[in-house]
Amino acid sequence: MSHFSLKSLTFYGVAIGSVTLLFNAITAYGNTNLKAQPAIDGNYSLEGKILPGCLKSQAVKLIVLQSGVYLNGAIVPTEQATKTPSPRREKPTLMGRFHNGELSLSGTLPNLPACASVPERELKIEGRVVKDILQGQIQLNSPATPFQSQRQKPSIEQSH
Amino acid sequence: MHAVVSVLVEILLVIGLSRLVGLGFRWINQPLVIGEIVAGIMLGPSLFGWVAPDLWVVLFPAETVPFLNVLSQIGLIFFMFLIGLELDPKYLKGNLNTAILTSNVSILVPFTLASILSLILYPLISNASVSFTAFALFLGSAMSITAFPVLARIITENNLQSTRLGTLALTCAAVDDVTAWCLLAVAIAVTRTNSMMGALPTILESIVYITLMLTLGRWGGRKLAQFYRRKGRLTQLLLAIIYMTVVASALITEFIGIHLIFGAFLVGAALPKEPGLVRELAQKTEDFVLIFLLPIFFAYSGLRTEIGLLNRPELWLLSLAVLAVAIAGKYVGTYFAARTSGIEKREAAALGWLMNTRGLTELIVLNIGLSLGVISPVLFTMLVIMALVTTFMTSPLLEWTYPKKLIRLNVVEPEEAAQLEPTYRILVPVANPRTQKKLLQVAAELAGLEKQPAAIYPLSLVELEEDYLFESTPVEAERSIRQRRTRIEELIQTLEPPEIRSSMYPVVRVTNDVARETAAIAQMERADLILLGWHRSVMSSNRLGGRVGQILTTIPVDVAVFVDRPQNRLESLLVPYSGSLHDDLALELALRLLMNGETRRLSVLRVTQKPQEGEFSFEFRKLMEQLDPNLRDRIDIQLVVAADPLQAAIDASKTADLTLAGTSSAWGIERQTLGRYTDELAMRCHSSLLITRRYSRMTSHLSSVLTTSAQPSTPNP
Repeated sequence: MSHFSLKSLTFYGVAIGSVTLLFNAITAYGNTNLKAQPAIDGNYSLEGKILPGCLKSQAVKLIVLQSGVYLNGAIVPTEQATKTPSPRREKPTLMGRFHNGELSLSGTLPNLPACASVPERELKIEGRVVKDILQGQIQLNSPATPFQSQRQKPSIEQSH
Repeated sequence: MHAVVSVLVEILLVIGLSRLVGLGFRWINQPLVIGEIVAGIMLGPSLFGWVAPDLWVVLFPAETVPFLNVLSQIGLIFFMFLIGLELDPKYLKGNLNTAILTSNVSILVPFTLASILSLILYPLISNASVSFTAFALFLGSAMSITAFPVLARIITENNLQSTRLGTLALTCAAVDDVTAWCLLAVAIAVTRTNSMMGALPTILESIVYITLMLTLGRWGGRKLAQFYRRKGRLTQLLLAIIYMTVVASALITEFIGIHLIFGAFLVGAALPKEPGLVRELAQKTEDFVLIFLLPIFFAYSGLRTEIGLLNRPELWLLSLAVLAVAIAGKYVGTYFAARTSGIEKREAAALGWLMNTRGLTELIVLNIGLSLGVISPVLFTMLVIMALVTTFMTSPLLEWTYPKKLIRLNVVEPEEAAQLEPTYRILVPVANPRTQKKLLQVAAELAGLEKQPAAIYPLSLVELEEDYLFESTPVEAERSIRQRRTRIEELIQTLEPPEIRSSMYPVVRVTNDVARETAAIAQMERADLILLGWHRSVMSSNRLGGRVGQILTTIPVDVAVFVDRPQNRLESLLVPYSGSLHDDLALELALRLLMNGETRRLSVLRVTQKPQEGEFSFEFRKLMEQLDPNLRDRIDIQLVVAADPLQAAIDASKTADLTLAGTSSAWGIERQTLGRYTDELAMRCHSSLLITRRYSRMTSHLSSVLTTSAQPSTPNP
């Protein structure tokens, strides 16, 4: 059968061989030089007492949804935050980036009834995440307030 | 209890919406399964959750998700079993060289491009818990997949399965599929152990298992086939054994470290393809799996697809990049490989678009990736969009590069060449070959086969009602086509006199839209007339309803509907004439019949309500002048003034063998607002009836008979 002829076999050999080599080269390069961001998604508890503006005296959680460098987030009352990431009942209203440990998120707060009456609800969070601890500053129409929080990893999704 | 109730409510929603959206996609000529996938996405956070989040959370609470997961996994296992079952080695016959070259290249190119794309994507949307190798491997296999099941259906629906393009595409896709699954297995193994080296034991174990299945497994399969043959049917015991084998095999591959689906696929592939066994097995398994379980998988997948996450222009740009790489990889790779093998440009292009279909198989791969954590929700969503877009593009692009007209020229089956160019062509849709002998005889009389070269095309359309079932696979479709063809040939052999049989050219096709296909075939074959039987239905007594009505309303060709009465004579003809152009057609056909039967007599009944209108039109009188005098002798023209033309016609029909009437309101046959036709005359006529509907004034049904009647006294037309 001619597809076993020497010419075809050499062709396939060369083709598959070169692709494999290329792939190995790419993965070698990728493994050494390319770094993805560490996982920082999950829930971060925020203590009400230190929070600015309408967030004071509320037990809230900061939910961070991560896709590599891009972050989405939401601030919800603690009771509402679920352990499993989906289906989510809270719409992500914060957007931001995470790169080399530096995190920044900004957006609005429609999920909190206490903040409904506040006209401008532009929230900004900036900080660093090191070893699952988020340290940063939170700003809501006021000078920035420092805070710190421990990450609660999302519960392991059913594998499959 | 509460969770079960919620799950059942969700299932209701899922199945209902899947069917609805699936039908919608069918209507725009896309595969049903894409509609089901979209329905699943609509039920998730992308649409439902975004538009009505509170209601959504009530209907899809978090605690039901694990249950949906279990159900969808079971559905997937049995679906992959069905896919393996369908992979008939018959597809691998013929074109093997080209197929192997094309499919290899169509995997190597997208895989390479995807690996390069990973260099860009990895630092942006992955996270550090996934190694680059796993990520690149996974993306590579995701881009290299071709959806064999969806492709097979598209080919069947376009009647390509016996063409060179169709068989080539199927072979390539089959080889592609198997290779891509192997790549995926490696990707999964590498992901779970996070290195190439660590995956080696898994890979070795898989190879051992596959060899085991293909040797011992086949042996066991042959025993099962023997048992089946002895029993003559698929007993429940046999079915139980097969199902248990599927589940056991799935578990084994899961323990080995590659996914559940591979074990199930292997069982399907390893089973010997004993036709009866495979058909019964497929029919018994597919209904529940395709209607109940698979949509749950799509819904589960949809719950994890969040289009809302693509909320930045950069992310949309990345999606475009993913889409571009996917399309370029498959199309370009396939095109150049095919061209190198000597396939002409148009076919190579069509092949490229066909191989670009990713559909359902891609979704399976992506869900595995998401569950393993190799891809993030954003990348998952991007790739789902890519899968949908690439599959969506296939049908229209296929039509554009390889329009249906060209398919006829490439059919592998031999075409009978007519001795002489036929002067008159009648297309006869034969819904049930057993009962429509009379229709073909009437067609033969109209064509006048004994006197001039004419052609009659008995048309039988194999209707694919449900997309995606076993009956729509190319092998099964071919079988149905062969069956129909045999029945029509048998019918033709019973026609009298024997000379007319050679002018019958049966056409058998697969379609999912009878009216549309009939119109297409009528235009391709340049039919002068379509002759149909009347509509028999349990639901309505309207003889012009259903398909007949559809054809009457939409087809751009002259149509005649034959309503027969139990008698076989065609000697005395009656044409009630009210002057409409449909009546003109009736008259022309009657004249044809008159010319083709020496002893026939025609009675033309000009019925008016007012005496002054009792004139025949200029064209009619001119026509009469052109006729041969001995023909004119057999025509009897009467003028009747009656208040109720319909009643006059009915009375006259008592003495006729065949009445020919146009679709005019005078005879109680007219088109109503929604395209329905009333059928007064059809119900009350005493004789057999031929209802005629003219489409164009241009078609002359008499030119072929007038020119052949050489009479010196006839003035030049």
